[in-house]
Amino acid sequence: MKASLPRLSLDLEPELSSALKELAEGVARFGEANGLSKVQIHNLSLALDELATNTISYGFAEVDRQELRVELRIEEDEVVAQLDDTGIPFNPFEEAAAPDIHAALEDRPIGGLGVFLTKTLFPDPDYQRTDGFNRISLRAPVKGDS
Amino acid sequence: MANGSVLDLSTETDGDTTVVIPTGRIDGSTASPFQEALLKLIEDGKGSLVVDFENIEYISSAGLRVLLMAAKQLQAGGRKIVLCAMRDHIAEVFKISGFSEILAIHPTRQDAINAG
Repeated sequence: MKASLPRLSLDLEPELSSALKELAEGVARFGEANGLSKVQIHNLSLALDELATNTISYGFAEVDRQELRVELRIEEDEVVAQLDDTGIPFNPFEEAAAPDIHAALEDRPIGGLGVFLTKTLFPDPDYQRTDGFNRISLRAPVKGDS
Repeated sequence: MANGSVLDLSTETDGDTTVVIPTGRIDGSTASPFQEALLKLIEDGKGSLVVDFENIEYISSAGLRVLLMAAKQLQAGGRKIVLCAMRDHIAEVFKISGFSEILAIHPTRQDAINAG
């Protein structure tokens, strides 16, 4: 597949409202240019939103250097989303508590869902900490609208 | 379409039932005003709260959290929250998070009002 936008990099501001807006627009632009299905664009958008929201809300809390970059690219027949941030070292896939998604309403804790949703949509996420960055990559086979 | 961080709300009433119709995206940056609006509607109303998703194109866990909080608040007063008219990809988020097991979700607003 010859894509018109094979790679998209976004430097997001460490401010939730503008970061999420830029992220949503960027993922939609990249997805449409590469013929990804609406569902796949939505899933990428949601997973990256959850991770970026956690970084901005918690990861940057006591950190002076606040850099958050997202890169989307097509590799062979896969779409890869990478999120690099300078927040406190944190592997959300190991360290975030898993919610009990079958608990009754009154027992459901408020929170813990974002990482769970990300892992459900992208079951094999990769995390590394190098050069002062948390580096997360998500990948999935490219799916177009059939 | 990808109009980040915009959320408008309109409300209607049907007997004791309050119907809220949010439009736009419910994410980490709009969850807080959404929560304030729902809690105010809960405080001002006395029956069920119907949230019509017809004009919602996106919800993240921040939005799910608000609905959970509203559901708990209503349940504590012997009332309930009923959701309706979700697009498929939104319904999927409710399903994989287990929220479709704990919150009532109906196909249309009228079904939701009848169930409320």
